Amino acid sequence: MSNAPIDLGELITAWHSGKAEAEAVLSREVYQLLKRMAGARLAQGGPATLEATGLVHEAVARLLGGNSDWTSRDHFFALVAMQMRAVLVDGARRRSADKRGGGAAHVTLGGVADPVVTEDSLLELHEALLRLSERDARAARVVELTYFGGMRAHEIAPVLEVSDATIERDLAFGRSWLKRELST
Amino acid sequence: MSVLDYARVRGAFDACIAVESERRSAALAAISLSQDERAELDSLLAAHDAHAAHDEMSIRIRAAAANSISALERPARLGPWRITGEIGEGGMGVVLSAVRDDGEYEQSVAIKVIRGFSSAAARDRLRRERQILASLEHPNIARLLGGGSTPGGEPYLVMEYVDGEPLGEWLARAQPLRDRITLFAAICRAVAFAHQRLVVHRDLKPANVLVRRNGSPVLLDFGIAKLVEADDTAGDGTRTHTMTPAYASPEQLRGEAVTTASDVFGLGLLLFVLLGGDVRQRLDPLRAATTSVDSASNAARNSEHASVRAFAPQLRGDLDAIVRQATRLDPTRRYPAATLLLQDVEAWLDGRPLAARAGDHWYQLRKLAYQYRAVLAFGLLLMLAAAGFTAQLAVERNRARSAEARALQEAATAREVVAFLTGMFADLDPRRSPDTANLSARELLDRGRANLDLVPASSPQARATLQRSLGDVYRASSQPQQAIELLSQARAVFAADPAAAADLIDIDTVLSQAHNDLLDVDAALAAAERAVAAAQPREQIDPQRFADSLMSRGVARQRLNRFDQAMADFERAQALFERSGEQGRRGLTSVLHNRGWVAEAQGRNQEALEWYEKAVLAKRALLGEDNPFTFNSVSAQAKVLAFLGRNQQAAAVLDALIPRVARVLGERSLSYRLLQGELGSVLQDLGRWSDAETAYLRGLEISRATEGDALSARTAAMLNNLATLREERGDLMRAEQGYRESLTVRLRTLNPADLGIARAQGNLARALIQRGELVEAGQLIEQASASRRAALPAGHPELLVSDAQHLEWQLARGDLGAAGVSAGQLRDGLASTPTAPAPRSNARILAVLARHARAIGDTQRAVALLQSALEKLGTALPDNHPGIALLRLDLAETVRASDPARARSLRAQAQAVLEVALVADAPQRARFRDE
Repeated sequence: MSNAPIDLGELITAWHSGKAEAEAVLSREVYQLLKRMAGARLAQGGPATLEATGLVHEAVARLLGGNSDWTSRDHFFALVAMQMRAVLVDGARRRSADKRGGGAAHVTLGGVADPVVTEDSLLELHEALLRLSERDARAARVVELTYFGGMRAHEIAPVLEVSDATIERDLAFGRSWLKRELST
Repeated sequence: MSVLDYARVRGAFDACIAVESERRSAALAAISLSQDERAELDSLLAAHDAHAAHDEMSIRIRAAAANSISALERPARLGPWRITGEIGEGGMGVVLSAVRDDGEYEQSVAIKVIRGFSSAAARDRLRRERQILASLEHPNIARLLGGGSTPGGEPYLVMEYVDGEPLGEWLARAQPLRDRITLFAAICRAVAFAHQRLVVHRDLKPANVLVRRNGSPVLLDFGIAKLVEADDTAGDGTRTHTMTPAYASPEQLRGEAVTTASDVFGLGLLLFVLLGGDVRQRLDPLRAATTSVDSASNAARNSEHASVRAFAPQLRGDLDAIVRQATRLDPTRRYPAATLLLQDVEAWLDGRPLAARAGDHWYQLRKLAYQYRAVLAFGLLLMLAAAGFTAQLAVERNRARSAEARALQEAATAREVVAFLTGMFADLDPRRSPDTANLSARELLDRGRANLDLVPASSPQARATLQRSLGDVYRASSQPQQAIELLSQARAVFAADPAAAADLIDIDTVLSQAHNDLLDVDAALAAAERAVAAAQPREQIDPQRFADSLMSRGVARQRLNRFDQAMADFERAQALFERSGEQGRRGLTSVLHNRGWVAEAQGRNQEALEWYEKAVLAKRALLGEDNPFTFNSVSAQAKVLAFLGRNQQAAAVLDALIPRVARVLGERSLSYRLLQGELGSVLQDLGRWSDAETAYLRGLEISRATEGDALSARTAAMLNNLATLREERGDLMRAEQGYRESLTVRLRTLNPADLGIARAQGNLARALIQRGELVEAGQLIEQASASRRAALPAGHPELLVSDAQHLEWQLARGDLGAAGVSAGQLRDGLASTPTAPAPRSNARILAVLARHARAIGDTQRAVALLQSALEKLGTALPDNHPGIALLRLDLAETVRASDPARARSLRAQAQAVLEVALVADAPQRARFRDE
């Protein structure tokens, strides 16, 4: 993290008014913030099923507060969701690399009443999403925003500038595609 | 497949899912797809149609995400440790298992990664305290082996891996009663051990106890709860308490301070559980905070385990009593120390009677500790804050809290003080408690000092903090030598720590005060200069500390007679205190007093009185009437009133003050006896000389009893005053003895430049002159004169006193030539001094000049001088004072030739007084006996 405290409010304004460099810096700051929030949440205890979407909502609320019009909020949401995905994927990659190199035991955490899920499953998902975006970029985006950002159709629509119905269709397609990809 | 093709697949898909499955073929009719594209579409539709697939997908994604977050920063290695697995997850972080991986040797450890620490400062503190915890080496305590920080910046602690089962599991297998108690005794031993080293566990519960195969228990997570709680995450407010509610003590549930007493509660609850009780009822925090723990025998009787029910009857009586005593809601009513709880448990195992059942005989211990605290509250709070190592952290936490919470914190800290002090003696055989209760404050302190040795050398910070606190307390209890030793040692450690700048200033300030107490003025000034130099750059952020350092330098300067510089320091300090509003009030009261003190030393008594009166008002308002600091200023006020000759007022002030002092500080206190001396002086001037003598003798009696052979400078002052009384009553032999003793003590105890020595020399000289011992008198006058000239600025009225004595001596020797010169100088001096000397000195000077005038035959001038002297003295002394009577006698003798009637009347007046006032063999009697 840089030494000088960054005024996120200003940064968000700059990003919203279209400054390109602002986006890169803002993305980086949001990334770090999400990591910190995740760490803090963890220390708080409670069940291990921490919702990524919950974090995103919280981050947006914290950073934007009450003073934003709805269009900029949705765009910002999308940015945060993207960073959330990046945080998770980076983490998963790092652990993967460790496992391959160090020969450490495979560490898992239960906590979900479901099939044993390993961090590899996230990387799989991520890579599948990458492949989807080569076929249907918008559908991939919709999936990302829905699952990593917890956004609803009417929130995604203005960001991608299509109708709600289109978003629904994108989601249906994207889910089906991923399901097929990941089950083979 | 190309992207473009995919668009067609996508279009087909959209069309198909918009209609029911039967209608799909119709929908597809309009779209032409290749064979591959058709296959693709089919598989996608199949995926879409499996409804459960949607749910499974989102669950999968969510779970993957959740899992990733949970395992976000888990590394594969930490330092030399290779992570082999995860043991569990707790409120403060995750616990990993690891082995040593650098080929050195085999070791299994548990590593606790603590999440959420934000600031570098908090991490530094954790590192320091970690060292303290690492020093806890005990067979029943899981060793803390080390620690570090993850690459992500999170601190981790490496602990010995204990191969054992949690206590709950051990208990699930029916254990005989005796084994349970034996196990508990081992746990108590571990806790007592840690308390001696000033570490509190804070989170005692079955989950933190593992039982090895051989039945020996091991305590986990000692003191770690405190390390974690100490941090406040960056504005998140997400930090929650780390305690487990069901096992938390009532004070913890209320958010109050955690003390060794909280651990005693935890032990009591552990015992309760060991005896078959369950704590489910304590899950409701409100209930847990306000309801006593159920009796052990009751709980056992209602247990679902037959083996527990079987021994329930054996719990009645003694074991019930132990649990009850340990788990009292009020921390001050529990066992004062874990050791005492252990002693009762061992007594049960040995079949001996318990202390808990003998009534609350620790009352004596607690009472003593409480009284001690009342007298030295501030110093002890420091001491205990050091003992809890929470001085810094608690202070910072408190800044964020409301005033009320802070007040609660302080009250709790005071209880901690009591608990700690009683704990200090817990190693003693309880049968010897009655002796313990009689320990003096001095002995208490010395024990505390001895306990310092228990702090391991690997924790220089902890030791330095304790040394510092003890040093402060020693200083507050008038043992400056010890204070200096301890503070100097502490200083060395603090000086090496750049973060401890403020502490260093405080230490130097107190060191200065201690050196002052020992009258080592040069060292006092040096320490004060260090404090000022360090505090000055921080003036903006910490004006109070700067002001305090200025105060100590002012005092040191005053003692070196640098009055103007001292006054400058005090003025500046005053401005700073006034700027600090509420917080500066305390310092302000002191500075007002000190300004009076400097003014007094400069001979500006009226001004001094005004300052003292301001100080008294301020202290009364802030500290109350019965506070020793208020006493100081009131007695200074009385002294200056007396000095200005306003003896009635002075006597009234003292009459009100002395009973208060007796009540608050006791008759054996230094203040009481000094005030007796003051009172004596005032009464003497009021002519109530037998009352005066009583007061002096009372003060001296106590002083000799307490000081023995090594009388103090203050006692010297009292000796001096009693001697002047005797001089006035013509009891010249004893007067001379008194002056000589006073001088001897002052020479031993005061700085050579101190004017108290000069005054004593002058007094003795005067007495010697009256006896005709002129040689010694001359030497003394010379020395006194030299000291005064060196110390006082030109124009200071006290310089005239020396000149007057010179004149007196020359007259006694019959050296009229020298006398003439001296008289001339004295007259000039008197005329040019900006401030007049105090009435008595003034009268004395005039009387000597008159004597000279008579000696050279200038009767007229002599008469004028004597009348002036009488007038001056009349403002200070009552009419029936022997001093006035003697002057009248002088005047009578002077006018005998010119106005015999007047002479006779004056003489009669004088005789009436002197007959009564002078002692039987006073030489002055000769002056009115013959006719």
